[in-house]
Order: sequence, then C-alpha cells, then structure tokens
Amino acid sequence: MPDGNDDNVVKPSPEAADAIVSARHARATSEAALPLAEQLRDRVRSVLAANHFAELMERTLREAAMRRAKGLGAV
Amino acid sequence: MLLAAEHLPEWAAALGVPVWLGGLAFVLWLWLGGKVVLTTDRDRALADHRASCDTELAAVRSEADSKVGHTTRALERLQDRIDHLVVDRDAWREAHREEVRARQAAERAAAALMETGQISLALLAALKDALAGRPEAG
Repeated sequence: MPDGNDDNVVKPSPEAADAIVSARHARATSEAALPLAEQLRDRVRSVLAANHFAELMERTLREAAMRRAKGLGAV
Repeated sequence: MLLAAEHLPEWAAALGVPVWLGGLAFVLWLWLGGKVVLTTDRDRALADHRASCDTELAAVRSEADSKVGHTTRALERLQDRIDHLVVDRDAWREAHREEVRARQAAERAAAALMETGQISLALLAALKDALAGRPEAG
C-alpha cells in the first residue's frame, strides 16, 4: 500500500545516491568476474597438473623401456 | 462644604460645644479628609501603575512569543538539516560498504588471475623445456 507521505521522506543527496549506484555496479561486476577468474585459474592449474603427469608418465615409460632393453640384452 | 465649615465655630458656640472639642473635631475632619484624598490619589496612582505594568507586560509577552516562534522555526530548520545529514551519512556509509565488498571481490579475482599467470608461466617453462629437449630425446 503506497504511503501518502512520500514527500516528507528525507532523501539522500544526489551525490550519495550516485555513489551507492556506482558502488553496487562495481560490486556486481567484481562478483561476476570472480568466478570466471577462479574457473580460469582452476583450468590452467589442471592443465599444468596434466602436463606434469604426462612428463612423469613419459619418463617412467622411457625408464621402463630402457630397463627392459637392458634386461633383454643381458639375457 | 467649605462654606458650612466656615460657620462651624459659630454653630459650636451656639450649641455650647467647648472650643477644644471643636478644635479636636476640626483636626479630625482635616485628618480624615486628607486621608481620603491621599487614599484616592494612591488608588489612582496604583491603577495607573498597574495599567502601565499590564501594557509593558503585554509588550514583553508579545516580544517573547515572537522570539519563541523565531527560535522554534530555527530549531525546525536545524532539525531538517540534521535529518538530511543523517540520511546522507547513512547513504555514504552504504556506498562505502558496497565499495568495500566490490574491492574485496576484485582483490579475490586479482589474486586468482595472478595465480593463473604464475601457473601459466610454469606451464610455458615446461613447454619450453619439452620443446628444447624433444630433438635431443628424438
């Protein structure tokens, strides 16, 4: 139900109202960018972990192949 | 009455009233008459004084009412200004609170981006090592 005394309500200054709007816009923008940045960080981190895992796997396989070659040669 | 008073000694002598009693009555008459005159003058002066006091009191009261009205209006203006200031202060406080939240979110996003950059550098270094070592390995 609308209040008939809206004219008597003290309103803040235009500068303060603009500051509130600007701050809320900045907050919305920052909070929208935050999950994107965190998602990007997680993906890059997972890529680095996958690369590290691939290197380890490659090194392990290479070592196994060398040991197998040596073993076969010894036999 | 004065004419009657002029003949009082003769009437007193005719009636056989002693002189001292007549003199005493005359003195009493003078005293009572003076007292009546003085009382009348005093009442009139008192009434005049009271009227002037009432007039002055009314003027002072009117001036005081005017000052009270002026002070009341000044107080109302001050109250309005205080209300505006309080609302404005609350609005700026709310804006500051929103800015703090925005800055905190931006700082977290910046931290995530910096960590992303560091991980990317490490990934590029690993890629560089892999590219540099692959011909030798091949």
